[in-house]
Amino acid sequence: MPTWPSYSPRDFLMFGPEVYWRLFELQNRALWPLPVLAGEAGVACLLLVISGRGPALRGAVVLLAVACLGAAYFLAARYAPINWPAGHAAWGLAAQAGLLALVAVAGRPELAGSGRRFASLPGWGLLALATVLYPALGLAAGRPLAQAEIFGLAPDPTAIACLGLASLVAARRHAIALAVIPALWCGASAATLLTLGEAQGWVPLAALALWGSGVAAALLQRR
Amino acid sequence: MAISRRAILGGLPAATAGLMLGRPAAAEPSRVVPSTGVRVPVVGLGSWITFNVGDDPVLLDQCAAVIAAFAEEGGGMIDSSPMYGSAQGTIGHGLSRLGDRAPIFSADKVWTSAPREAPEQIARTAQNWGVSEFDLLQVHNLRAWEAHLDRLVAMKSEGRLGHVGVTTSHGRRHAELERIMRDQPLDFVQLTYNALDREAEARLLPLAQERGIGVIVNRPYRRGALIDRFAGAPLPGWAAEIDAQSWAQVLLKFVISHPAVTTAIPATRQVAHLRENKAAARGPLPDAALRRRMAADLARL
Repeated sequence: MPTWPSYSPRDFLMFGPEVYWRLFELQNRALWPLPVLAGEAGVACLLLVISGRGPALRGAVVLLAVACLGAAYFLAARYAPINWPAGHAAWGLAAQAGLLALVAVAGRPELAGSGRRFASLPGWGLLALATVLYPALGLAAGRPLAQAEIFGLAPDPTAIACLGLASLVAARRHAIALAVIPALWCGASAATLLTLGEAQGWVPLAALALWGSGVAAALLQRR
Repeated sequence: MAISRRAILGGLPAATAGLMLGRPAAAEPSRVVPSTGVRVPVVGLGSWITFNVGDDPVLLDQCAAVIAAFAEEGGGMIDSSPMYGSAQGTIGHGLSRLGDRAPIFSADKVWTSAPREAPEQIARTAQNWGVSEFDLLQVHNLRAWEAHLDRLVAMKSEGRLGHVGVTTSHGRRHAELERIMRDQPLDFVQLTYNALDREAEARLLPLAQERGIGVIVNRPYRRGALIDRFAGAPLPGWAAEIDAQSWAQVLLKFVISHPAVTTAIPATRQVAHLRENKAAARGPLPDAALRRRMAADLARL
């Protein structure tokens, strides 16, 4: 008789919440003052997307590509030693960086037009959440600022920023290609955090829902 | 330099090394491993989740303090697995801070579906612990158990290993485990047993006694869930009869009072919890009649 039906998500957890949140503190301290620069890069990324066209947008995509490499480093160097599947996820985010670089160099990224303003709202929300609000989530949950998850260094805000950009770009092939890996990551992270008993798991889940609503709205407007 | 863990136990053959255990913990009962005569303190130390702390210096220090307190309280079995993330390295870190004669019974596992990978994995495990030999190696969750067991038995016969065992958890694959216990030359079997998960009482624990196999109990608290479950309730009147000061002690006394159980391996990163576990072993344990009453009462709570 197969034993797999007897497993629950909790059985696959190899670590506790304290260890997980301290990973960010260890990384932030080890790379200081890079976390400050990364936070500023996140805001810059948001502003570049807001400015909207041509080289500015391309710069934002390049920043996101670098951010994905930073998040991949976290997964490989910090997270994988306590949770080996994170090593595979690191390759996923590295691949995402490659996709973003490809879009920046060869894809001529453009934002969706004003006709899709309503469908764009989730994208802007996701970008703002990832680059501005995310470092404060830990504080709100009672964790120290030293454990802040920062765009470009932590995987969740970085993946959510990617979902935001994917919601805003005009070309459907870009929207799809840029969303797959971050959507998978958000699902995995939400499952992990919720299984750990951490309410913050609802944030990547909400991000997924927001992204899904943007996709649905875009599809409806195209009909 | 790698230390021979069995040498730490006194530079003696495995069959007598266990006699070194229990130095300051005169009152903690130890149980004999039937196949070798080694005595093992009845409360050991697990490492699943609690010792998987990566290279976090603060948490590594916490774990080292737990291991030091464990040794101070009489020591016993520390159990880990290649599956437990960085737990093996954490144990190695803790052991490196102890003296050469720390009373530790080293237990780890082989965890791979590819038998050819086992030698390298065992070597890596020993390196992580900082030992050259183990008191016990087990086949983790019966994974590729035939080939691994042959290898471990050969290592034991060559004098490179103290004991051989197989493990399960969460009550899984008990029928297969029972067949292995009947047919294979095991020193230890590891399984889940606690006040609410009592399936092992029916066949496996009696079979272990009959076959002279030591029993290691994992998940004595269901990873803390049982303590949480009873936390709000007052201790029953019979808790005073066995000097149990907390629900954790009630639950642990229930497990280690089964005559087939050699050692239980609760995991913790708190020195206070470690000492509470060790204290549970030193006081009186329930007899068969009280065990029945405990099981009935706890199932109702």
